[in-house]
Amino acid sequence: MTRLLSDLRVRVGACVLAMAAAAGLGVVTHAKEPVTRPQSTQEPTRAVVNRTALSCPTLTGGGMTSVVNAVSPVLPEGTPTAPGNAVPLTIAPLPATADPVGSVLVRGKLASTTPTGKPVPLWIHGTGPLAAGAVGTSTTTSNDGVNRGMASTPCQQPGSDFWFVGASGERGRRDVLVLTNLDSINAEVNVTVYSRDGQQDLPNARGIVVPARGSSEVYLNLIAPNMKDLALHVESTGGRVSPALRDNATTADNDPAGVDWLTPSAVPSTKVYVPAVAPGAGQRVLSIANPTDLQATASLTVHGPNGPFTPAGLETVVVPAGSVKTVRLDQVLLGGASAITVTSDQAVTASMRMADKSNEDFASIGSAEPLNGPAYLVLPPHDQPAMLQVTAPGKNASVKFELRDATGRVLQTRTLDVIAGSTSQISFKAQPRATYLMVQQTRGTIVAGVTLMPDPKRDDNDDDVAQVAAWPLTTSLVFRAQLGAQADVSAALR
Amino acid sequence: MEQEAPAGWEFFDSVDFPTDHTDDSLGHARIRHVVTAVVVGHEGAAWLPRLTESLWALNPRPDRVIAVDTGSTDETAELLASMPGVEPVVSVSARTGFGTAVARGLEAVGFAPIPSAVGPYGDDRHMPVVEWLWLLHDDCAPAPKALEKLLLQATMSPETGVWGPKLRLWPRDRDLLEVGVTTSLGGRRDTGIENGELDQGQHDQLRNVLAVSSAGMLVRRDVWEALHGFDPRLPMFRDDIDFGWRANRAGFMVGVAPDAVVYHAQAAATGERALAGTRRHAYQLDRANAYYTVLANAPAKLLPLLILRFLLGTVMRSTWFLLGKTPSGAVDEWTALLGTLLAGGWTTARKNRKQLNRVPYDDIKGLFSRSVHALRQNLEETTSTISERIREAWADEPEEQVVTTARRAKSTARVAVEQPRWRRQLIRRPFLIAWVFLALGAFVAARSLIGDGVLRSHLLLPAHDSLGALWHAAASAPPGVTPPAWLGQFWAFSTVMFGPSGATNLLLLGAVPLAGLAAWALLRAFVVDRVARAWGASAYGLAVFTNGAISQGRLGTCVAAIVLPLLGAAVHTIARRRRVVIQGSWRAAWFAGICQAVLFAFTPALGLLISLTLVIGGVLGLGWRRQGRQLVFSVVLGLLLVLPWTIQLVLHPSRLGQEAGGPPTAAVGPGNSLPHLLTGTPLGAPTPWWLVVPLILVALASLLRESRQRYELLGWFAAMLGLAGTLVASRLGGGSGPLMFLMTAGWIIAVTVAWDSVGKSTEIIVQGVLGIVLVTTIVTAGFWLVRGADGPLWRGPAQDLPAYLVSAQDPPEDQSILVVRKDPNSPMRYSLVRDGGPRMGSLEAAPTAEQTKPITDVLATLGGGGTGEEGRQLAGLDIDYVYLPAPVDPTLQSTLDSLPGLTRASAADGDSAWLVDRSRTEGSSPLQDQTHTVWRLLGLIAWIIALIFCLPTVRRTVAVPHGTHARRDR
Repeated sequence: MTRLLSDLRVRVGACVLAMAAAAGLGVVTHAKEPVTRPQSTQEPTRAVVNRTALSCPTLTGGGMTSVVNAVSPVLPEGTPTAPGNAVPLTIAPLPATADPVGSVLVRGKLASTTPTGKPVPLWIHGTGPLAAGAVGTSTTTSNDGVNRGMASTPCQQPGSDFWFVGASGERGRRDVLVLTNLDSINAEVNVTVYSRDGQQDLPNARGIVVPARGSSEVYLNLIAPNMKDLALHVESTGGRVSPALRDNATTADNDPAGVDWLTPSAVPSTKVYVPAVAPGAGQRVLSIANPTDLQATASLTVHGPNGPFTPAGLETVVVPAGSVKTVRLDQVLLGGASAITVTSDQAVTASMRMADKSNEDFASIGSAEPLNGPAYLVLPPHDQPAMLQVTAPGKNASVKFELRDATGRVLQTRTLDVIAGSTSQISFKAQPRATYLMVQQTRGTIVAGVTLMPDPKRDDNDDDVAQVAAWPLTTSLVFRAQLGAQADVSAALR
Repeated sequence: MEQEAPAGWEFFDSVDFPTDHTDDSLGHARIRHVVTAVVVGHEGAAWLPRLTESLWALNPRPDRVIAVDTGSTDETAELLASMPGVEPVVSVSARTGFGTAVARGLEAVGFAPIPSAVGPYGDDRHMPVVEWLWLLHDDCAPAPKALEKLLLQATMSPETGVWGPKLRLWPRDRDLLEVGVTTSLGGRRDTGIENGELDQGQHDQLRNVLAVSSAGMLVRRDVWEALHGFDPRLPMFRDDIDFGWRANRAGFMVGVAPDAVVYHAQAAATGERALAGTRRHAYQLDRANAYYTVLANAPAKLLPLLILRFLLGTVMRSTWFLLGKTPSGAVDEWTALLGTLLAGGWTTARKNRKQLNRVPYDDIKGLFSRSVHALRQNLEETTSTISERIREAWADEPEEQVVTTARRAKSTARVAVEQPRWRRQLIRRPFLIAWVFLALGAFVAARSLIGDGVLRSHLLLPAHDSLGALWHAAASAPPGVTPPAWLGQFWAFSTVMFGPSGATNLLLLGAVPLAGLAAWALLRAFVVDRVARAWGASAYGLAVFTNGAISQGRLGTCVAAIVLPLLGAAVHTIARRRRVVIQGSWRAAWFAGICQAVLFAFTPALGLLISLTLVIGGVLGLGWRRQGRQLVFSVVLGLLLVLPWTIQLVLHPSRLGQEAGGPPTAAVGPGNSLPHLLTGTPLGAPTPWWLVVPLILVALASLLRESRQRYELLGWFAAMLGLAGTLVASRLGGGSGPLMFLMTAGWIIAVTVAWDSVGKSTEIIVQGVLGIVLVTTIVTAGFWLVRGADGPLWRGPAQDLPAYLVSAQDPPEDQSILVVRKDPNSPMRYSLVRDGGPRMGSLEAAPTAEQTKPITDVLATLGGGGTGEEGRQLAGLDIDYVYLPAPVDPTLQSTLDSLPGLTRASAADGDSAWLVDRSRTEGSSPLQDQTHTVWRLLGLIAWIIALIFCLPTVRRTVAVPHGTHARRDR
């Protein structure tokens, strides 16, 4: 070896060769990126919900019947069960010491409160196996007085960011934002109000304290008097709230014109879907709110029973920055069961207000996210057939639905193909008792809702009170998304 | 009949023959002194003729000279017999102590008879007669007037019973040995004279002392008899002190007469005459006798304190011996103390001496040496011993040294003689200039890194606040996690280098000059040309910069760059062929082991590569002989010293790709770039890769030469080793910064050795090539100065949290802050900040995924919107604050905003913070550290042992008193 290296050519050659070999290997192989951070220990995943709480608001006043129906629905096959003891799903008044007014220990069966004339705000709570997917509906019916008609809304999950479109502080409306806090510490809420004149600076709407296990009410005609076409952005800065917006309408001559809850709208986006525009005659007002700093140019697409179309004259709707614009669509929809897609260059959100032809009762439905899992909805007893309206705003889609009665028995089930851009409707016959519905999208993009309208052949002077209601179908909280998180010491440093 | 004086007694000069009248000028009554001199000889043939001469010259002479021979094997007996006026020589056994020998001589011959009062000049009967005993050693020589001066003083102060002369060094140097002697109560013999102090009359005061040396001691006969002579228990050492002490206690004063001079050869103290028995024995005997003397004579009330003091001193001295690799010294210490204490001879001695007690201790207290004085002397001795040993250790090869000196002479010969002296000095020391440049350059380059805060980069976490925190972190980690070994070593370095922050500054910002210095120490071993050596060392230092180690804040590479040359020097010491019988050096092997332990801890990959090379090279190249074994031993030692880190490296080989500071980034390697790979320049390096190309070309050209190829090939071998390591490491996803540094270092060695060989050549090609190398280096240095050492490296606060959150971590609050970072399109990353936040080593000692799972789960749920329970869960995990640094994820922010139990807290601009309500929950943190006390203890012991073995050996210095008369113990 030593003798070999003493040869000049050999040693120079050896070194050059060694470098050349290294170069060759360097070309052939590729460097591996060093692992600079600890391996992700938890990929984004989802966990089945094991704790739920829903707030069920009620109307105030007398002469009405109020009931809350809740269910821990039958989940699709293969859904894991949350760990924990089987604790009943309970419906109870808000105070921590209050006795439950209804409960159920079996998945699939409905729990109902006794119909009462003096309702109090209730909450549905469940932990353990019964929590996943639990839904409830609060329904009030009245035959006269300011609460005449039907006011029914799904019980609301607490959260920190909600949008309501279509409220009003003008005469003839009495809109009240009911903020309920189900947690054991006070919550603080800021409400940002957008009107047709732009964003309003309303000091009274800021810093609203919602007591623990209690509720606060914000009267819009006090904080925003005489303002029409409002959109509210409810944000909590501490704690969580379940907001609901109660709307009592009166006609110009002070006759009651119905009551309902405005359902929350989806978070503003450049494409929003307003599902379940009820069929039939009557006022149909679309409110579009543009909370951004820039003017939005929106275009409407109506998804009618026969397919999509853009209503003439409404190709573009200009919504000024920070303001709300309303569009009457009665003439456009022509009484068809529809849904509407609002596409805009700025993030907007929307809602639809629907009244029966006699303007005795109305309902409002906010924009909704497309379904990405099973959506459950408890339907209160209804005298008229309820209409499930399924819209495929994009391509052809299909959907599966199941209607079960209070004992969990399947009343009606079907898989339905929805043609691209059109709205299909399925009618559920009148039920004397509460039922619950499961809608699951199996293909494509689906938005859906259930509407209840009075019989079109009904006479205006009928003694029956018209019942108008609309319930959006939103993906139920069966699974909770879990984002990946990983311990990394250097995260503490810039 | 007067005997004739032998020839040659001019040994004494005229100073010793004062011509003035020496009679008592104060008109004291004349006294007749009758002096009996006793000379005890033992193997003293070398010195006895001088004593004989001096006895001839003595005036007056002793009335009787008794000679005692203690079993000498040489002609001592004959020489003793030839002394003037000597009685027949008394022979005693070789084991007889000095005091016993004197006693035997006196028994055999007797004191000098008192001469008849009637002389030729009349009747002297009215003159009082005083009888004296004069003790002489065989290696001493009294000056001619010595006895006369002693007797003169005795005449003038008759109350003094014991007289001693001034002892000076044999034969007639002015070195002062003793003018009276005393002891501290700790047993330390103290002459009050500095080592090598010259006699200028500074100690020439007539005074009372505690004791005088037995060489030349003049004792009145009644004193001698009253005290029964020397204590037979003290055959050697301290017999004189004990005697003087007893005399003082009995009320006989002890005086020193500085006019009387006795020259002493110090035969025993200087080792010219072996002390009978071993040195070890002598040391033990010295200590034992010191204890005995003090215990037997000290006042009873002081005894408990004194014993305590002996114990303390013994503990300290034995520790010193253990540190100095002389465990037998420690054994001596303890056997001396315990033997003396337990044997109980001293209690008998105390009893016997009780009747002597005529003078209270307080009256003679002033004669003892102060303890402070003893301490100071101890300190001086220790420091001088240490420096002497270190000098010895570094100059361990005299015959090679000669060669180097000759070469050095050759290399400096061309320095023009007519140059001014300072310029000549500078030309002779080019590295000094280069190093000063590097040191100043380090300041210039670090210009933007000077100020408050700590050094940080993405590869360098902030240093710990205090040594205590670092000490804790060095052995603390979550269960199942091994704390990185380098923290412990860094702690040791920090203790001497201004704390953790100061040590970081020094190692990172001073890496260039420090590495240069280390390289110079290595190059000295085989590069003769000073300019070549200076270039090599400077280029090596600058290579730390071109590697990016400084600007990226890679502490590991900086430390490796400093340690590598030291390891190289140690290996060179082991492996080189020497013209001595014993090859290799165990001390170097221990040192090489320590260097490798540092490499294993700071740059595991480099450590592994070098250790493997050493084992293979050692066994194949040097064989399983002493040198090979030493190399293998050093590797094993290195692996053992970093336990349990070694186990961690075996279990998780991916840790090999890291260096101190945590996981590497893509910038610490060549990536897919071929030029970066072949030139050994990491992607994140501050210099372009082509700056290295001239160096490689010249290194290749250096192979063209014929001579001294061994070192050049070694350099190339190191470079290729680094290249192979880089290739493997980068392809496996590890960092290869230190390996690429090894490449550069290898080429620098090759070029330096070639330069050394051709530096004197005047060939234009050679000069041109060297010029290229020099220019490249200067350009690199310019790059370094202009660009500066910052880059990713910056100086800032140790934590990026608002001040109130930083202070909340301190006691008594001890709050923990959960910092969550959510970048778009990547999962949340979080860190639980406690006790000062993430510091050095936190990345390596990060808790496992299982341990952080409770926090991960809560955050994962929060990321998905949360259930509302997370506030309580966070409180249950002992988390006080949640902090979201900018850019804040709006979704997460709103989730946290609405989370019950969380309240917004103030935060820096763009960040968000929440206070977790913990009023109702007594939380417990999931992350608890565990301190590895056993490992730490074992590690400390191992390091101390290793350090002791690479330090030079401590020798026992036996404080042989100058007056000691050598003889064997009984």
